[in-house]
Amino acid sequence: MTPHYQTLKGELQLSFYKQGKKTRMTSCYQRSPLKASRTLYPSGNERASVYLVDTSGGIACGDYNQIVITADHQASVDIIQQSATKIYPARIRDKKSKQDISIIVSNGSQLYWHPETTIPFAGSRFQQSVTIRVDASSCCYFADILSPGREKYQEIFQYESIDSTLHVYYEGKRLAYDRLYFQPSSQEMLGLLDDYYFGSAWYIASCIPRDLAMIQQADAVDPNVRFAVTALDPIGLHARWLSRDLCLLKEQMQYFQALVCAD
Amino acid sequence: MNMQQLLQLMHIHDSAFPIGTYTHSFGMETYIQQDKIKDPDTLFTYCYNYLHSNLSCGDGIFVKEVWQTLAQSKSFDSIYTLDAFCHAQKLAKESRAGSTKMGRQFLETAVPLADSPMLSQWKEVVIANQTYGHYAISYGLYAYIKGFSLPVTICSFLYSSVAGLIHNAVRAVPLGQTTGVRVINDILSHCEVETLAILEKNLDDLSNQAVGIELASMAHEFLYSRLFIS
Repeated sequence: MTPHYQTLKGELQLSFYKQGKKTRMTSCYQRSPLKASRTLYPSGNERASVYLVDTSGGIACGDYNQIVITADHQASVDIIQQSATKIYPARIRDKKSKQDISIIVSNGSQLYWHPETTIPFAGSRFQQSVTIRVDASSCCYFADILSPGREKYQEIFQYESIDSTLHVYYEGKRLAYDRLYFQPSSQEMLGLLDDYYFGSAWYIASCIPRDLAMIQQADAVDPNVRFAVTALDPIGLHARWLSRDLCLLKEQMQYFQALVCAD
Repeated sequence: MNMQQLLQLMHIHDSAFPIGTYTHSFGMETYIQQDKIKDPDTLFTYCYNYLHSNLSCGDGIFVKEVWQTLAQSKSFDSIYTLDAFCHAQKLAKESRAGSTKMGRQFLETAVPLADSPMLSQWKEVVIANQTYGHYAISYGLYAYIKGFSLPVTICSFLYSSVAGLIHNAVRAVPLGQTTGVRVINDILSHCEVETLAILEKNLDDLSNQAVGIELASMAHEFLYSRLFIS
Protein backbone atom coordinates (compact mmCIF):
# COMPACT_ATOMS: atom_id res chain seq x y z
CA MET A 1 0.00 0.00 0.00
CA THR A 2 1.35 3.41 -0.98
CA PRO A 3 1.66 5.69 2.04
CA HIS A 4 -0.29 8.94 1.89
CA TYR A 5 1.67 12.08 2.58
CA GLN A 6 -0.06 15.33 3.40
CA THR A 7 1.14 18.25 1.29
CA LEU A 8 0.74 21.95 2.01
CA LYS A 9 0.17 24.98 -0.19
CA GLY A 10 1.35 28.10 1.56
CA GLU A 11 0.54 31.55 0.25
CA LEU A 12 1.65 35.00 1.23
CA GLN A 13 0.63 38.14 -0.62
CA LEU A 14 1.85 41.36 0.94
CA SER A 15 1.50 44.92 -0.33
CA PHE A 16 3.31 47.93 1.04
CA TYR A 17 2.51 51.61 0.43
CA LYS A 18 3.76 54.76 2.03
CA GLN A 19 0.88 56.39 3.84
CA GLY A 20 1.55 59.61 5.66
CA LYS A 21 5.06 59.38 7.02
CA LYS A 22 5.31 55.62 7.28
CA THR A 23 5.34 52.58 5.07
CA ARG A 24 2.27 50.49 5.86
CA MET A 25 1.39 46.94 4.98
CA THR A 26 -1.84 47.72 3.19
CA SER A 27 -2.83 44.17 2.39
CA CYS A 28 -1.83 40.81 3.73
CA TYR A 29 -3.22 37.52 2.52
CA GLN A 30 -1.69 34.54 4.25
CA ARG A 31 -2.37 30.87 4.05
CA SER A 32 -0.74 28.40 6.37
CA PRO A 33 2.02 27.42 6.76
CA LEU A 34 3.23 30.85 5.57
CA LYS A 35 2.64 33.86 7.76
CA ALA A 36 3.88 37.43 8.00
CA SER A 37 4.71 39.22 11.23
CA ARG A 38 3.10 42.53 12.01
CA THR A 39 4.86 45.58 10.62
CA LEU A 40 7.77 46.71 12.76
CA TYR A 41 9.69 49.96 12.70
CA PRO A 42 13.02 49.06 14.34
CA SER A 43 14.88 52.09 13.07
CA GLY A 44 12.18 54.42 14.32
CA ASN A 45 11.67 56.01 10.93
CA GLU A 46 9.32 55.37 8.03
CA ARG A 47 11.01 52.11 7.02
CA ALA A 48 8.95 49.00 7.70
CA SER A 49 10.27 45.55 8.57
CA VAL A 50 8.30 42.34 8.22
CA TYR A 51 9.39 38.82 9.10
CA LEU A 52 8.32 35.89 6.94
CA VAL A 53 7.46 32.81 8.95
CA ASP A 54 6.97 29.21 7.85
CA THR A 55 5.13 27.46 10.69
CA SER A 56 5.63 24.01 9.17
CA GLY A 57 9.37 24.14 9.78
CA GLY A 58 10.28 23.47 6.16
CA ILE A 59 9.13 22.51 2.70
CA ALA A 60 8.26 18.86 2.26
CA CYS A 61 8.08 17.03 -1.03
CA GLY A 62 4.83 17.99 -2.77
CA ASP A 63 4.53 21.25 -0.80
CA TYR A 64 4.25 24.48 -2.71
CA ASN A 65 4.90 27.94 -1.29
CA GLN A 66 3.96 31.06 -3.18
CA ILE A 67 5.09 34.48 -2.02
CA VAL A 68 4.13 37.73 -3.77
CA ILE A 69 5.38 41.02 -2.37
CA THR A 70 4.55 44.43 -3.82
CA ALA A 71 6.12 47.72 -2.78
CA ASP A 72 4.47 50.77 -4.32
CA HIS A 73 3.95 54.50 -3.75
CA GLN A 74 7.37 55.21 -2.18
CA ALA A 75 7.23 52.30 0.21
CA SER A 76 10.41 51.43 2.03
CA VAL A 77 10.51 47.92 3.45
CA ASP A 78 12.80 45.19 4.75
CA ILE A 79 11.61 41.62 4.26
CA ILE A 80 13.36 39.27 6.64
CA GLN A 81 13.21 35.49 6.54
CA GLN A 82 12.70 34.41 10.13
CA SER A 83 14.51 31.11 9.91
CA ALA A 84 16.33 28.77 7.57
CA THR A 85 14.28 27.07 4.87
CA LYS A 86 14.65 23.34 5.35
CA ILE A 87 13.98 21.16 2.33
CA TYR A 88 12.86 17.75 3.50
CA PRO A 89 13.71 14.45 1.77
CA ALA A 90 11.59 13.61 -1.26
CA ARG A 91 9.25 10.77 -0.39
CA ILE A 92 6.77 11.11 -3.25
CA ARG A 93 7.82 9.89 -6.67
CA ASP A 94 8.26 12.66 -9.27
CA LYS A 95 7.33 15.40 -6.77
CA LYS A 96 9.49 18.25 -5.55
CA SER A 97 9.47 20.82 -2.78
CA LYS A 98 8.50 24.00 -4.63
CA GLN A 99 8.61 27.70 -3.92
CA ASP A 100 7.81 30.72 -6.09
CA ILE A 101 8.72 34.24 -5.04
CA SER A 102 7.57 37.32 -6.93
CA ILE A 103 8.74 40.80 -5.99
CA ILE A 104 7.44 43.97 -7.63
CA VAL A 105 8.97 47.30 -6.66
CA SER A 106 7.64 50.47 -8.26
CA ASN A 107 6.94 54.17 -7.97
CA GLY A 108 9.91 55.29 -5.92
CA SER A 109 9.93 52.30 -3.57
CA GLN A 110 12.72 50.35 -1.91
CA LEU A 111 12.58 46.69 -0.98
CA TYR A 112 15.41 44.78 0.65
CA TRP A 113 15.16 41.01 1.09
CA HIS A 114 17.28 39.62 3.92
CA PRO A 115 17.83 35.89 3.45
CA GLU A 116 18.22 32.95 5.73
CA THR A 117 19.88 29.76 4.60
CA THR A 118 18.19 27.16 2.42
CA ILE A 119 19.18 23.73 3.74
CA PRO A 120 18.48 20.80 1.43
CA PHE A 121 18.33 17.54 3.40
CA ALA A 122 19.70 14.30 1.99
CA GLY A 123 17.46 12.99 -0.77
CA SER A 124 15.57 16.27 -1.20
CA ARG A 125 14.43 17.82 -4.48
CA PHE A 126 13.89 21.59 -4.51
CA GLN A 127 12.59 23.83 -7.24
CA GLN A 128 12.47 27.58 -6.74
CA SER A 129 11.55 30.44 -9.02
CA VAL A 130 12.24 34.05 -8.11
CA THR A 131 10.98 36.92 -10.28
CA ILE A 132 11.96 40.50 -9.51
CA ARG A 133 10.43 43.46 -11.31
CA VAL A 134 11.80 46.93 -10.68
CA ASP A 135 11.03 50.23 -12.36
CA ALA A 136 13.51 53.04 -12.93
CA SER A 137 12.39 55.03 -9.89
CA SER A 138 12.81 52.15 -7.42
CA CYS A 139 15.41 49.80 -6.04
CA CYS A 140 15.54 46.24 -4.84
CA TYR A 141 18.09 44.15 -2.99
CA PHE A 142 17.59 40.40 -3.03
CA ALA A 143 19.90 37.74 -1.66
CA ASP A 144 19.94 33.99 -1.28
CA ILE A 145 22.09 31.49 0.66
CA LEU A 146 22.34 27.83 -0.26
CA SER A 147 23.84 25.31 2.11
CA PRO A 148 25.33 22.02 0.91
CA GLY A 149 23.13 20.17 3.41
CA ARG A 150 23.08 19.36 7.11
CA GLU A 151 26.74 19.47 8.03
CA LYS A 152 26.21 18.12 11.55
CA TYR A 153 24.71 14.96 10.11
CA GLN A 154 27.40 14.66 7.45
CA GLU A 155 24.75 15.29 4.80
CA ILE A 156 26.95 17.26 2.45
CA PHE A 157 25.81 17.38 -1.17
CA GLN A 158 23.44 14.48 -0.62
CA TYR A 159 20.37 16.20 -1.99
CA GLU A 160 18.95 14.91 -5.26
CA SER A 161 18.56 18.24 -7.02
CA ILE A 162 18.33 21.99 -6.58
CA ASP A 163 16.76 23.90 -9.43
CA SER A 164 16.62 27.61 -8.75
CA THR A 165 15.70 30.15 -11.41
CA LEU A 166 15.88 33.89 -10.98
CA HIS A 167 14.54 36.43 -13.46
CA VAL A 168 15.20 40.12 -13.07
CA TYR A 169 13.21 42.62 -15.12
CA TYR A 170 14.08 46.28 -15.16
CA GLU A 171 11.52 48.59 -16.72
CA GLY A 172 9.84 45.52 -18.16
CA LYS A 173 12.95 44.31 -19.98
CA ARG A 174 14.82 41.17 -18.96
CA LEU A 175 17.99 42.26 -17.21
CA ALA A 176 19.27 38.95 -15.87
CA TYR A 177 18.47 35.27 -16.01
CA ASP A 178 20.15 32.97 -13.58
CA ARG A 179 19.18 29.34 -13.38
CA LEU A 180 21.23 27.19 -11.07
CA TYR A 181 20.78 23.49 -11.42
CA PHE A 182 22.72 21.22 -9.13
CA GLN A 183 22.69 17.47 -9.10
CA PRO A 184 25.56 16.38 -6.90
CA SER A 185 27.55 13.50 -8.28
CA SER A 186 30.92 11.99 -7.77
CA GLN A 187 32.48 14.40 -10.26
CA GLU A 188 35.18 16.69 -8.96
CA MET A 189 33.82 20.10 -8.00
CA LEU A 190 36.54 22.37 -9.42
CA GLY A 191 34.68 25.27 -11.01
CA LEU A 192 31.31 24.18 -9.62
CA LEU A 193 30.40 24.66 -5.95
CA ASP A 194 34.07 24.50 -4.95
CA ASP A 195 33.65 25.69 -1.42
CA TYR A 196 30.24 24.48 -0.25
CA TYR A 197 28.11 27.41 0.93
CA PHE A 198 26.90 29.59 -1.88
CA GLY A 199 25.60 33.12 -1.51
CA SER A 200 24.28 35.43 -4.18
CA ALA A 201 22.95 38.96 -4.12
CA TRP A 202 21.30 41.30 -6.59
CA TYR A 203 21.08 45.04 -6.26
CA ILE A 204 18.85 46.59 -8.88
CA ALA A 205 18.73 50.37 -8.90
CA SER A 206 19.22 53.12 -11.42
CA CYS A 207 22.08 54.49 -9.36
CA ILE A 208 24.69 51.94 -8.31
CA PRO A 209 28.06 52.45 -6.62
CA ARG A 210 30.64 53.29 -9.27
CA ASP A 211 33.73 52.01 -7.54
CA LEU A 212 33.31 48.26 -7.78
CA ALA A 213 37.02 47.69 -7.18
CA MET A 214 36.63 49.25 -3.75
CA ILE A 215 33.70 46.95 -2.95
CA GLN A 216 35.61 43.95 -4.29
CA GLN A 217 38.61 44.71 -2.11
CA ALA A 218 36.58 45.58 0.96
CA ASP A 219 34.54 42.39 0.86
CA ALA A 220 37.27 39.99 -0.16
CA VAL A 221 39.68 40.19 2.74
CA ASP A 222 39.15 36.71 4.19
CA PRO A 223 40.84 33.77 2.46
CA ASN A 224 38.02 31.44 3.54
CA VAL A 225 35.50 33.27 1.43
CA ARG A 226 35.63 33.72 -2.31
CA PHE A 227 33.72 36.79 -3.39
CA ALA A 228 33.17 38.74 -6.57
CA VAL A 229 30.91 41.53 -7.69
CA THR A 230 30.02 42.49 -11.24
CA ALA A 231 27.96 45.10 -13.03
CA LEU A 232 24.89 44.00 -14.95
CA ASP A 233 24.01 45.62 -18.26
CA PRO A 234 22.70 48.31 -18.34
CA ILE A 235 22.19 48.72 -14.57
CA GLY A 236 22.45 46.76 -11.35
CA LEU A 237 24.99 44.70 -9.45
CA HIS A 238 25.35 41.00 -8.89
CA ALA A 239 27.57 39.42 -6.24
CA ARG A 240 28.51 35.85 -5.41
CA TRP A 241 30.22 34.12 -2.54
CA LEU A 242 31.56 30.61 -2.01
CA SER A 243 32.65 29.66 1.47
CA ARG A 244 33.11 26.80 3.88
CA ASP A 245 32.12 29.04 6.78
CA LEU A 246 28.45 30.01 6.96
CA CYS A 247 28.89 32.65 9.67
CA LEU A 248 31.62 34.35 7.70
CA LEU A 249 29.54 34.17 4.54
CA LYS A 250 26.56 35.82 6.24
CA GLU A 251 28.79 38.46 7.77
CA GLN A 252 30.26 39.35 4.40
CA MET A 253 26.88 39.38 2.71
CA GLN A 254 25.56 41.79 5.32
CA TYR A 255 28.61 43.96 4.90
CA PHE A 256 28.11 43.99 1.13
CA GLN A 257 24.47 44.93 1.51
CA ALA A 258 25.31 47.78 3.85
CA LEU A 259 27.97 48.97 1.41
CA VAL A 260 25.90 49.01 -1.77
CA CYS A 261 22.59 50.05 -0.28
CA ALA A 262 24.15 52.96 1.59
CA ASP A 263 24.84 54.89 -1.63
CA MET B 1 29.68 17.46 -45.16
CA ASN B 2 31.49 18.01 -48.44
CA MET B 3 35.16 18.81 -48.84
CA GLN B 4 34.54 22.54 -49.28
CA GLN B 5 32.51 22.71 -46.06
CA LEU B 6 35.18 20.80 -44.17
CA LEU B 7 37.82 23.23 -45.36
CA GLN B 8 35.71 26.23 -44.38
CA LEU B 9 35.10 24.76 -40.94
CA MET B 10 38.83 24.20 -40.49
CA HIS B 11 39.49 27.70 -41.75
CA ILE B 12 37.29 29.49 -39.16
CA HIS B 13 38.94 27.45 -36.40
CA ASP B 14 42.47 28.03 -37.60
CA SER B 15 44.55 29.58 -34.84
CA ALA B 16 45.36 32.42 -37.24
CA PHE B 17 41.69 33.24 -37.76
CA PRO B 18 41.50 36.45 -35.73
CA ILE B 19 38.50 36.37 -33.40
CA GLY B 20 40.44 36.84 -30.18
CA THR B 21 40.10 33.40 -28.61
CA TYR B 22 43.65 33.60 -27.35
CA THR B 23 42.86 36.75 -25.35
CA HIS B 24 40.00 35.33 -23.26
CA SER B 25 40.11 32.83 -20.43
CA PHE B 26 36.49 33.34 -19.26
CA GLY B 27 37.53 33.12 -15.61
CA MET B 28 40.14 30.37 -15.94
CA GLU B 29 43.00 32.77 -15.24
CA THR B 30 41.59 33.41 -11.75
CA TYR B 31 41.87 29.68 -10.99
CA ILE B 32 45.38 29.59 -12.45
CA GLN B 33 46.49 32.49 -10.25
CA GLN B 34 44.99 30.69 -7.23
CA ASP B 35 47.10 27.67 -8.18
CA LYS B 36 44.00 25.51 -8.55
CA ILE B 37 44.83 24.74 -12.18
CA LYS B 38 48.44 23.68 -12.14
CA ASP B 39 48.87 20.35 -13.95
CA PRO B 40 47.21 18.17 -16.62
CA ASP B 41 44.74 16.61 -14.16
CA THR B 42 43.41 19.87 -12.73
CA LEU B 43 43.28 21.38 -16.22
CA PHE B 44 41.27 18.43 -17.51
CA THR B 45 38.85 18.57 -14.55
CA TYR B 46 38.33 22.29 -15.04
CA CYS B 47 37.77 21.95 -18.79
CA TYR B 48 35.46 18.98 -18.32
CA ASN B 49 33.34 20.96 -15.84
CA TYR B 50 33.38 23.99 -18.13
CA LEU B 51 32.19 21.82 -21.01
CA HIS B 52 29.62 19.82 -19.07
CA SER B 53 28.29 22.42 -16.63
CA ASN B 54 28.65 25.66 -18.55
CA LEU B 55 28.89 25.29 -22.35
CA SER B 56 26.54 22.35 -22.59
CA CYS B 57 23.77 24.13 -20.70
CA GLY B 58 24.54 27.63 -22.00
CA ASP B 59 26.17 28.71 -25.25
CA GLY B 60 25.87 25.24 -26.77
CA ILE B 61 22.09 25.46 -26.50
CA PHE B 62 22.07 28.94 -28.06
CA VAL B 63 24.10 27.66 -31.04
CA LYS B 64 21.57 24.88 -31.53
CA GLU B 65 18.55 27.16 -31.10
CA VAL B 66 19.84 29.68 -33.66
CA TRP B 67 20.49 26.92 -36.20
CA GLN B 68 17.06 25.38 -35.69
CA THR B 69 15.29 28.74 -35.70
CA LEU B 70 16.83 29.65 -39.04
CA ALA B 71 15.88 26.26 -40.42
CA GLN B 72 12.26 27.26 -39.83
CA SER B 73 12.34 30.96 -40.67
CA LYS B 74 14.89 33.33 -42.15
CA SER B 75 13.56 36.24 -40.09
CA PHE B 76 15.94 37.75 -37.55
CA ASP B 77 13.19 38.51 -35.03
CA SER B 78 13.63 35.28 -33.10
CA ILE B 79 17.42 35.57 -33.36
CA TYR B 80 17.25 38.97 -31.66
CA THR B 81 15.31 37.36 -28.83
CA LEU B 82 17.89 34.59 -28.49
CA ASP B 83 20.72 37.13 -28.53
CA ALA B 84 19.04 39.18 -25.77
CA PHE B 85 18.45 36.03 -23.73
CA CYS B 86 22.12 35.05 -24.16
CA HIS B 87 23.08 38.54 -22.95
CA ALA B 88 20.88 38.29 -19.84
CA GLN B 89 22.33 34.90 -18.98
CA LYS B 90 25.93 36.10 -19.04
CA LEU B 91 26.18 37.69 -15.62
CA ALA B 92 29.92 38.33 -15.38
CA LYS B 93 30.72 41.63 -17.07
CA GLU B 94 33.98 40.47 -18.67
CA SER B 95 32.55 37.22 -20.03
CA ARG B 96 29.57 39.09 -21.42
CA ALA B 97 31.81 41.65 -23.09
CA GLY B 98 34.21 38.93 -24.25
CA SER B 99 31.41 37.04 -25.93
CA THR B 100 30.21 40.10 -27.84
CA LYS B 101 33.75 41.10 -28.79
CA MET B 102 34.48 37.65 -30.16
CA GLY B 103 31.15 37.65 -31.98
CA ARG B 104 31.85 40.99 -33.62
CA GLN B 105 35.41 40.05 -34.52
CA PHE B 106 34.15 36.79 -35.98
CA LEU B 107 31.72 38.70 -38.19
CA GLU B 108 34.37 41.22 -39.21
CA THR B 109 36.55 38.40 -40.45
CA ALA B 110 34.00 35.90 -41.73
CA VAL B 111 31.56 38.16 -43.58
CA PRO B 112 33.98 39.31 -46.32
CA LEU B 113 34.83 35.65 -46.97
CA ALA B 114 31.35 34.21 -46.84
CA ASP B 115 29.53 35.87 -49.73
CA SER B 116 26.23 35.69 -47.87
CA PRO B 117 23.70 38.58 -47.91
CA MET B 118 22.11 37.17 -44.77
CA LEU B 119 25.38 37.14 -42.84
CA SER B 120 26.17 40.65 -44.09
CA GLN B 121 22.78 41.82 -42.91
CA TRP B 122 23.39 40.27 -39.49
CA LYS B 123 26.73 42.03 -39.26
CA GLU B 124 25.05 45.34 -40.13
CA VAL B 125 22.48 45.06 -37.33
CA VAL B 126 25.20 44.05 -34.86
CA ILE B 127 27.44 46.96 -35.85
CA ALA B 128 24.43 49.28 -35.61
CA ASN B 129 23.89 47.99 -32.04
CA GLN B 130 20.40 46.79 -32.84
CA THR B 131 21.43 43.52 -31.21
CA TYR B 132 24.38 42.34 -29.13
CA GLY B 133 25.97 39.85 -31.53
CA HIS B 134 27.15 37.23 -29.04
CA TYR B 135 29.64 34.75 -30.46
CA ALA B 136 27.39 31.71 -29.96
CA ILE B 137 24.60 33.42 -31.88
CA SER B 138 26.77 34.52 -34.79
CA TYR B 139 28.48 31.14 -34.91
CA GLY B 140 25.14 29.32 -35.17
CA LEU B 141 24.04 31.70 -37.87
CA TYR B 142 27.23 31.27 -39.88
CA ALA B 143 27.14 27.48 -39.57
CA TYR B 144 23.54 27.35 -40.74
CA ILE B 145 24.28 29.57 -43.75
CA LYS B 146 27.27 27.41 -44.67
CA GLY B 147 25.14 24.29 -44.57
CA PHE B 148 26.97 22.58 -41.72
CA SER B 149 24.81 19.92 -40.12
CA LEU B 150 23.50 20.64 -36.61
CA PRO B 151 25.62 18.00 -34.83
CA VAL B 152 28.76 19.20 -36.62
CA THR B 153 27.90 22.81 -35.75
CA ILE B 154 27.45 22.08 -32.06
CA CYS B 155 30.43 19.76 -31.79
CA SER B 156 32.82 22.12 -33.57
CA PHE B 157 31.66 24.97 -31.34
CA LEU B 158 32.25 22.93 -28.17
CA TYR B 159 35.59 21.64 -29.38
CA SER B 160 36.92 25.05 -30.40
CA SER B 161 35.75 26.65 -27.15
CA VAL B 162 37.42 24.09 -24.92
CA ALA B 163 40.53 23.70 -27.10
CA GLY B 164 40.94 27.50 -27.01
CA LEU B 165 40.90 27.42 -23.21
CA ILE B 166 43.46 24.62 -23.11
CA HIS B 167 45.79 26.48 -25.48
CA ASN B 168 45.51 29.50 -23.19
CA ALA B 169 46.20 27.39 -20.09
CA VAL B 170 49.32 25.97 -21.74
CA ARG B 171 50.64 29.53 -21.98
CA ALA B 172 49.43 30.75 -18.61
CA VAL B 173 50.18 27.89 -16.17
CA PRO B 174 52.58 27.16 -18.04
CA LEU B 175 52.35 23.60 -19.34
CA GLY B 176 54.09 21.91 -22.23
CA GLN B 177 52.55 21.70 -25.68
CA THR B 178 52.47 17.92 -25.40
CA THR B 179 50.46 18.18 -22.20
CA GLY B 180 47.99 20.51 -23.88
CA VAL B 181 47.55 18.17 -26.81
CA ARG B 182 46.98 15.25 -24.46
CA VAL B 183 44.31 17.12 -22.48
CA ILE B 184 42.57 18.07 -25.72
CA ASN B 185 42.68 14.45 -26.82
CA ASP B 186 41.14 13.37 -23.51
CA ILE B 187 38.29 15.86 -23.86
CA LEU B 188 37.35 14.86 -27.43
CA SER B 189 34.98 12.04 -26.48
CA HIS B 190 33.25 14.35 -23.99
CA CYS B 191 32.63 16.89 -26.76
CA GLU B 192 30.80 14.17 -28.64
CA VAL B 193 28.77 13.16 -25.57
CA GLU B 194 27.77 16.75 -24.86
CA THR B 195 26.85 17.33 -28.51
CA LEU B 196 24.37 14.47 -28.31
CA ALA B 197 23.06 15.86 -25.00
CA ILE B 198 22.57 19.35 -26.47
CA LEU B 199 20.62 17.93 -29.39
CA GLU B 200 18.01 16.83 -26.85
CA LYS B 201 17.94 20.18 -25.02
CA ASN B 202 16.02 23.41 -25.54
CA LEU B 203 15.78 26.85 -23.91
CA ASP B 204 14.10 25.34 -20.85
CA ASP B 205 17.37 23.55 -20.17
CA LEU B 206 19.45 26.72 -19.99
CA SER B 207 21.21 26.80 -16.66
CA ASN B 208 24.55 27.28 -15.02
CA GLN B 209 26.00 24.70 -12.71
CA ALA B 210 29.50 26.13 -12.86
CA VAL B 211 29.05 28.91 -10.30
CA GLY B 212 32.72 28.72 -9.32
CA ILE B 213 33.75 29.46 -12.89
CA GLU B 214 31.31 32.33 -13.10
CA LEU B 215 32.49 33.74 -9.79
CA ALA B 216 36.07 33.48 -11.07
CA SER B 217 35.02 35.30 -14.21
CA MET B 218 33.50 38.07 -12.11
CA ALA B 219 36.62 38.27 -9.94
CA HIS B 220 38.95 38.34 -12.98
CA GLU B 221 38.14 42.00 -13.55
CA PHE B 222 39.88 42.85 -10.29
CA LEU B 223 43.01 40.69 -10.57
CA TYR B 224 46.19 42.66 -10.03
CA SER B 225 48.02 41.32 -13.08
CA ARG B 226 46.40 39.59 -16.03
CA LEU B 227 47.39 37.87 -19.23
CA PHE B 228 43.83 37.70 -20.56
CA ILE B 229 41.03 40.20 -21.13
CA SER B 230 38.48 37.99 -19.39
